[in-house]
Amino acid sequence: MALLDKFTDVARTRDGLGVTDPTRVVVDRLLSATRAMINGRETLLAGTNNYLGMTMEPASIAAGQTALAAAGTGTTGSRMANGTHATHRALEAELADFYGYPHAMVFTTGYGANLGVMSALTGPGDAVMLDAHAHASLHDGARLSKADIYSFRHNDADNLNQRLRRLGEQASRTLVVVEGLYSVTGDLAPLAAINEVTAAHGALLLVDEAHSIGVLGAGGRGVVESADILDTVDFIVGTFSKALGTTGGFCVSRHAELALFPYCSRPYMFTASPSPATVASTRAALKIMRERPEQRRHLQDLCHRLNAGLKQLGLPVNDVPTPVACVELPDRERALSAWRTLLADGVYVNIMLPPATPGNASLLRLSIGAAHTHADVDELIQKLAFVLD
Amino acid sequence: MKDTEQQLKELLEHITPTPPDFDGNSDLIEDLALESIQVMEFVMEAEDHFDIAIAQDKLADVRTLSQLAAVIEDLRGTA
Repeated sequence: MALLDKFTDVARTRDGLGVTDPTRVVVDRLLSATRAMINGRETLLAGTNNYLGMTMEPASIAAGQTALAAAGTGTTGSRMANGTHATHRALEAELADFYGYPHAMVFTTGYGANLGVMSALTGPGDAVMLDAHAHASLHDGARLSKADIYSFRHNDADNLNQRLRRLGEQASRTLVVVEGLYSVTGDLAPLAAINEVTAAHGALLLVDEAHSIGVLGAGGRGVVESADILDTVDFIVGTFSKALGTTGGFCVSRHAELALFPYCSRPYMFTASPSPATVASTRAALKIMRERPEQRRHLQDLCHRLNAGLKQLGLPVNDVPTPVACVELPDRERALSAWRTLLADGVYVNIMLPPATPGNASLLRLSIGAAHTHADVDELIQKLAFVLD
Repeated sequence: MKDTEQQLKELLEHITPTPPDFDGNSDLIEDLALESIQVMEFVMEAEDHFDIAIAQDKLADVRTLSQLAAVIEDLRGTA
């Protein structure tokens, strides 16, 4: 029974989270992309990463319903066996076209995309150099690759330069891994500088745009587009589970070798492919995202409003307003208390507690989307002011 | 070796206060209750201070300052 002993500690940690446990929130009923019934109360959703409100988009829902009726509930197989339908190939072609690259690869989840791409690209003797604030899925991808794993200081291109220099010849066998928009803190990577340093050492750059596709860049291509490095960045990975409102992950690249990754990627080979209904909804969402830049403009307007509201409360904010913001509380208990008060007052936000947070901080994480209104953002700020008072 | 260990102790004090009885054989996780993210920060401090690169797998068995000092000495070729 020794294998089960560790769960005693897990139970203690879980029970320490109290009666209203942030890890056990249940959405009883969804009312819209921005409202739900939780604990019997109508609740403003301000922590769901639904950046374009696409989960309730009628065209995306209809596309999924049609595909569900026509192709069934699942593919029951790997992309490398019976799990590639014409719709999977069509989505890959549409993603490649969106970025202007020769090839795209679709995965069942964003997590799987990071594991699948990183483990295909790097192996024993290679190196992965992660930004210190990189998402857990990127760390897991590095571990799966069995490459040597290093980190550089968050968003510090000079520090990256020093660390690549220290690797000597191994620098040219290194994959530098960053996020475009950091998921917890909402700050942006200085991608132009990081891309330049990476190229100078002969390394390759992978940018995870999970939180920035559809959100940033004139055409919604993320921070790589706003940083103007689409022509030179090596690999972009992302997810459909945020701005596009479905599930799944992808990789696009200017390198033709991406077409060979399926033969080297165990997470790709040994997972059932995304269901045709999910793929159909994703394709519809991608089309809408491309055709409706006004969604992004409205979202940017809301981001500025959120930033201004947080500033008025005397809170530090990111230089560039994004849909993600975090509020640091002095300690774990006060963060939990503030989170519970907000939920009881009808606002759902995320809570991030050590050890999984940058700087070991206790944070409330806010995220807004294009389906929100000015009044929603004002309500969020007003209720936040109350709990912080 | 003592010199490297002493330098590491000074770096560690930038991350967290150390008790009076803390020494090179104290356990960083159990005695100092360092969280994994603080350990990562400490290792990055050490890498920059000694101008070396420490791959994560080199740290798999490191529990104390003395063991970390040995890894650093080995990487610098001064063991």
